[in-house]
Amino acid sequence: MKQRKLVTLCVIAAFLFAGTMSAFASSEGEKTAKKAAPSGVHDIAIMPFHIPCMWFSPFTAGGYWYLQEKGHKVRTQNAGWDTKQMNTILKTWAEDPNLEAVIIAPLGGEEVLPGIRALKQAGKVVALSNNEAGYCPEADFCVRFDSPQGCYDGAVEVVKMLEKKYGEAKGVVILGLGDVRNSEHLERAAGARKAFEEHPGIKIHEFVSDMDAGKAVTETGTLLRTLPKVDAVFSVGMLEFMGMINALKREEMAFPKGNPKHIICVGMDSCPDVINPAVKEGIVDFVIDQPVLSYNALAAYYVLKILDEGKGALPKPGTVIQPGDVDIKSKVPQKDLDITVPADMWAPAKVFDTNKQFGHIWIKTNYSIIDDTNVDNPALWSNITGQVRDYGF
Amino acid sequence: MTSKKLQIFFLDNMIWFINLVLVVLFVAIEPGLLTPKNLISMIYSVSMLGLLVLAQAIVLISGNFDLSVGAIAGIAMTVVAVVHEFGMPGTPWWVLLIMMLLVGTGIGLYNGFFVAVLKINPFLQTLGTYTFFYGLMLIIGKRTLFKLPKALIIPGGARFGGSIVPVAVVILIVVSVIVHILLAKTSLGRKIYAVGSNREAARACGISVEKTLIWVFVLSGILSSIGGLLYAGYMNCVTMDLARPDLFLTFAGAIIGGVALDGGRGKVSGIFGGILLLGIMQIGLTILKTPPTWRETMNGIVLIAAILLNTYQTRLKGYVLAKSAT
Repeated sequence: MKQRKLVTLCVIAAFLFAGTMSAFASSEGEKTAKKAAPSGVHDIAIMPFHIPCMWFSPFTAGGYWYLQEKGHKVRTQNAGWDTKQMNTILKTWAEDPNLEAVIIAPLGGEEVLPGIRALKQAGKVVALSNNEAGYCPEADFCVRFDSPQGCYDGAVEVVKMLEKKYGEAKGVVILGLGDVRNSEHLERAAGARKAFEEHPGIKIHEFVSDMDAGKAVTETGTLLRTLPKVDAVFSVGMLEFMGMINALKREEMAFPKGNPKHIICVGMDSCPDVINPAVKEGIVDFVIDQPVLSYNALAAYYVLKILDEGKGALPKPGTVIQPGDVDIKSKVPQKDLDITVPADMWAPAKVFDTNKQFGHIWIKTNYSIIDDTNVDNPALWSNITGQVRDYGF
Repeated sequence: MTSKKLQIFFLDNMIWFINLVLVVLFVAIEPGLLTPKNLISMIYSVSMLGLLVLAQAIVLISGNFDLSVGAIAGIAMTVVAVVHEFGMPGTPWWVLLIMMLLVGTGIGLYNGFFVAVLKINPFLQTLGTYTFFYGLMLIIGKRTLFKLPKALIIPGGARFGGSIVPVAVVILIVVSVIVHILLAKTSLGRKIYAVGSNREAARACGISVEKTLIWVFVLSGILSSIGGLLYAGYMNCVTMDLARPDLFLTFAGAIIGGVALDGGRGKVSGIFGGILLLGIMQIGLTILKTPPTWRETMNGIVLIAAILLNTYQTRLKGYVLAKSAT
């Protein structure tokens, strides 16, 4: 009897599993069959670092929506913050004869190189977006903004504010770091640190959040309570920034600009929750914002160019790309939303010859400064994605 | 073979039937999956994890836990990479290899001594080791380390000649066979099972429980450090969180493979099947273009089903045997 029950359970489970997997496979086919033209349809993958994340979901969506609207096949996967997992997925994709190109966010930097090499050996077009993977001639190009420079620029502005406050560059700054195991985050931190360390009067107190907003609350809170005076807080990434803002609020030290008790608050990346409301309240002075929705749309545009016209179709170093030069817009695929993405804040993008340093060209996008004057701009990626219920992947 | 024997054979090797059903299911949905490279990838992608699963399985069979398998893998390779890049550049690869094994052995000995002799709870002891050594890695390594001797990349990253067979897969198979012999054919193996089944009974039979447990953790340390070597080769570098995301999978692989969480039961063929199941899921879900948001859940469903089946396996086996006796 027990045996029969178990066998029945197994059969039901197997059917359920098979049914779900078949549904995924067929819906994938239908999606492209409905929209795709019979020829000239390309099969392209987008490899983010972690899908269910308020940064990587819009990052993926920019290219995903664009490629889908153009009638191409597009797929994505979740590496779950794990470079080994990302390598495995990339190596598996390399074996897929139908797949033609992959756009990768190599957040683990050079750790993702084995996967990228496997793709290149299999003849796939490889584009990097968001950041570099060290020296990587296997990639055809990279689309990103200069995040260490962005952090440096932001920190320079903080120094200027301190100079305005004290008449000289001095004060105490809490510097929130993200994942110190991650090369991208290390470079960002180095950018901010460099700007502060140029002024001996500025004392930095650093903490590591491990990209955990909760840990950032605890660490910032402890420093705020312990240090006799804090003049500024600066964050190198979204999650630690959210934590730092929450800590300021919890310690009742979140005063708006203009208030003599205001602590300068600057960080990287906007976000519909916590960060944008704090910008609106004047608690946050400004945000250095990446054109998240644009990276993969731009990357997808040039990947299609390579697939259709060859690598010679890539823009030459020195070229300045303006919004009118490229067709990268798409509609957000949600019925009740009439929004076209991305906004033009990525422009102008300049092409650099970074073959010596990275082994490929770099399409360097612009970045935006978000403060209380423009935080409600409906074109901001954070304001758009705040309305998106389902990214479609 | 009689029907009873067939039933017992089926129950004893259930994980392999589960794997077979999964592969058939995946191939039925996506026939493109059936290429030699894809099939080999299924085991290659988890070969480094496989070493940690074997390490975990030995500790579980002895009735203990080892949360530090990933940390041992990481620190062993960090030491090697730091010595090679900064400490003593030019150190021959075989010296580095010995160093790596010594680090694994040393930490295993340390874990074993605290658990067996000082009677520290294995969960707490290895949790401390895990935390300490992942922290220490960051202090001595500071960042991802890319400079490793070529010879140390080969085990995890190379293939045999022009073939499609990764060296890592062969290493996993060879190590599995060695662990099988050790567990099934040696007196140490029998002692491990005995200690895991009933510590006091084992002691009463004259088995030195302390000595056996120290051996268990030393073996776990050695296997983990070899696992670290494969991780480093697979990724061509030593990351500062090497194997960290795989800790729970080391338990999952062992338990799916039929290792009892409370000790005393488990065999290498089952454990190998459990490792393979993790690989089938990893590669299968990617090839089937599973929506990324579903990936974790689908993994979970299969793992839960496999664990349930394996849990009932023992009861069913008892039922079949009892029925045949009456």
